Amino acid sequence: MTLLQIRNLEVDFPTRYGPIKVLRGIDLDIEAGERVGIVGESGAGKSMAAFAIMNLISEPGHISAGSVEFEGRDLAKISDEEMRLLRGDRISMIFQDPMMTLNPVLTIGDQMVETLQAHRNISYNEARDLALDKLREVRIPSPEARFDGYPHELSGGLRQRVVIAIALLSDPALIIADEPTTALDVTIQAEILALLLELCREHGAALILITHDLAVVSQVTERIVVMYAGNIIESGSTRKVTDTPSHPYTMGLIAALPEQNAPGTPLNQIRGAMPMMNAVPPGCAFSPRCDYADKKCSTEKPELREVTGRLVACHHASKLKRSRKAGK
Amino acid sequence: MSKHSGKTLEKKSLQPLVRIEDLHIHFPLPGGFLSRERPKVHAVNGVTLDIMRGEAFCVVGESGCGKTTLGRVLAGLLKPTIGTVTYDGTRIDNLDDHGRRPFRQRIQMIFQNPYASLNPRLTIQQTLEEPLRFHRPDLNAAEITAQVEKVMKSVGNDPEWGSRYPHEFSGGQRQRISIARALVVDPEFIIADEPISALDVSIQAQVLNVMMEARRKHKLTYLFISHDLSVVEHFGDRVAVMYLGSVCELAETAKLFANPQHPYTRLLLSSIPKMDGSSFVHVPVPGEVPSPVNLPSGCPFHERCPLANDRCKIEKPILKHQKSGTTVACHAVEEGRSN
Ligand SMILES: Nc1ncnc2c1ncn2[C@@H]1O[C@H](COP(=O)(O)OP(=O)(O)OP(=O)(O)O)[C@@H](O)[C@H]1O
Ligand SMILES: Nc1ncnc2c1ncn2[C@@H]1O[C@H](COP(=O)(O)OP(=O)(O)OP(=O)(O)O)[C@@H](O)[C@H]1O
Ligand code: SF4
Ligand SMILES: [Mg+2]
Ligand SMILES: [Mg+2]
Repeated sequence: MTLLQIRNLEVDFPTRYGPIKVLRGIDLDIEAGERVGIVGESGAGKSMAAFAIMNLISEPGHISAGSVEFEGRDLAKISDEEMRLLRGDRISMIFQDPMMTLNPVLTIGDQMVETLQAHRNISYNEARDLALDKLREVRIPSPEARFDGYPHELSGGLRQRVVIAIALLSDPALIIADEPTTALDVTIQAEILALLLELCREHGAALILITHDLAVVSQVTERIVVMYAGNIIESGSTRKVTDTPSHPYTMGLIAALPEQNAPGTPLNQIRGAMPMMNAVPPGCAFSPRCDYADKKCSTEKPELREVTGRLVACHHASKLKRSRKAGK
Repeated sequence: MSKHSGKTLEKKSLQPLVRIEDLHIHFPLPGGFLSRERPKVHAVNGVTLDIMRGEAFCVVGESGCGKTTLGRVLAGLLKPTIGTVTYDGTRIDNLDDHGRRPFRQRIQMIFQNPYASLNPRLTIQQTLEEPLRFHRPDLNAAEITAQVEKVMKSVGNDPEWGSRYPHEFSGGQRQRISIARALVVDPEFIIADEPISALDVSIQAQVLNVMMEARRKHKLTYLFISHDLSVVEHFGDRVAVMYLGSVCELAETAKLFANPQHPYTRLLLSSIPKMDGSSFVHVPVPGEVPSPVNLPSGCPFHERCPLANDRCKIEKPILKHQKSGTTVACHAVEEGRSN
């Protein structure tokens, strides 16, 4: 069953210096229980896509075209109250900025109890016990002592774990995790990923994992979506995309990994920088940085097309040499 | 302890720029009305380190083990509970605001959380000009603008970002602005707390290249805190592995990755996710996560360590130089039962 269906999604920000289109027509389907990774240039619109699904785009930004359907319901057409109930219950989001979830003036315990009581009819003590269980599950040491503490008393990683604990309080059908383990060391990261995977496997939850860590996506997800300048530019099975990246941007990304370069030497970087979203070049947005670009690339926008078993938005994808095998 | 690391690791060409001696940092916690003593977090527990001039010194370790706290003490944002910090021959941990002033430009910190470290009321241009005006009164307006533009470009930022405010940027973009702010005043020592973890790999590569080049050109010294071990392996000269506020292993980067000695270092390296097409396997580590609130007796790692014996439960191992060329705090390694 298709759990989430995104069609031609566009997000606009009117600004002092003119309108900015930060999402420029995105199509994405997520099946129930599926695990999908979103990677891509910083500023490409990954978090914005997540905010659009949650209907949380901050003013003055707004969805200017397209639709988001969740469990068969068009999210643009439901009431604010229904959306609020959906969030934190059927859809749980782990935000890139932990302070999007945490209120600095409330103790960790109060926020967890409050979240629980908003969705369920339970007593304070029941809520407290549940919350402490979750804090233990995400490996917070001395959960009782932390329960009465404030967010600023926690290290970056502990704070992130509290946010994850809050996201796991309900039994969601879709978990959107935006850089959930970036602030964590690899051993705790492994435990959190195991926890997320268990949730997906045992409760059939689907996962959208936004991360810069290609190794993490490659181990946790079944499918990868690569974004650049507000568009999806490559999408396909995780194995295929990481083994034989087919869009020049994806190729450059994988070549930049430290593992692909000798210690201490300059790393391969993609020349140039991503354009500002109010000045995206015509044609292929990547063309000014691309080694394979020709005239067509600077005039005609490439659509996502099937190339060797995955979707790629590049005029020359079928001709490029895909030799960069990832991993050691 | 410093004698051990000092004797072997001090290369003649290198002078210690930073010397940390027996550093302890505690934070009081709320509660504890019933017990006599107020509970406290033992964030850093007796760290002794030398950082050489021109060195890229990395700190890795469990989240919550005290890395940021250590960095904040070096940056003068926090006073140690016990212990001293000496910078270029001057003791700096006990300085007041006035005494600290000369060190503010020389020591810069890049903060872990890009969402909290930029002033929301300042445009990006103002954010970058402010420290320059303060620390470089010799520069005129045109020179300031030029310096800001140069640094913005070097970390992959469009100078046109200048007129915008922090909330208009993504997490990674904000982090690049913070990095530019640290570099703009030409510091000699940068404390970089997870500077690139919010960035995609190609920008990571770009920023790391800038940091490596700044190091070569200006003899910059780094304290580089990171969870990304492949970045540490690429960037670092030496690595300190921390666990529960103590250093458990200290070694040259290549040695540490080739031949990790401490059981925690081994656990850490074995948890690095790989891109080799394998799927995720997780072997849970037995035992409760130890707490810096109630520090375990003996070795901080003994509750989770496969090699722990009775001695480990009672006696805290100290950093000792090993035959392998690394410095390790572990009874098992010392007793030769680790292989
Ligand atoms: N309030 C705003 N006004 C104008 N532009 C904005 C605003 N908020 C975000 N943007 C722009 O929208 C684009 C997409 O941002 P988004 O946060 O989705 O990026 P991202 O892909 O999640 O990046 P990162 O990996 O760095 O988190 C960015 O280029 C950013 O500059
Ligand atoms: N102001 C504070 N009040 C109380 N406890 C604090 C405070 N600041 C830090 N701590 C605690 O001190 C310990 C060390 O924190 P620190 O931020 O140094 O960890 P870290 O190693 O940087 O972790 P991470 O990798 O998660 O960022 C943690 O247990 C943290 O919760
Ligand atoms: S000292 Fe003992 S408990 Fe600590 S790491 Fe070594 S073997 Fe394990
Ligand atoms: Mg983001
Ligand atoms: Mg930290």
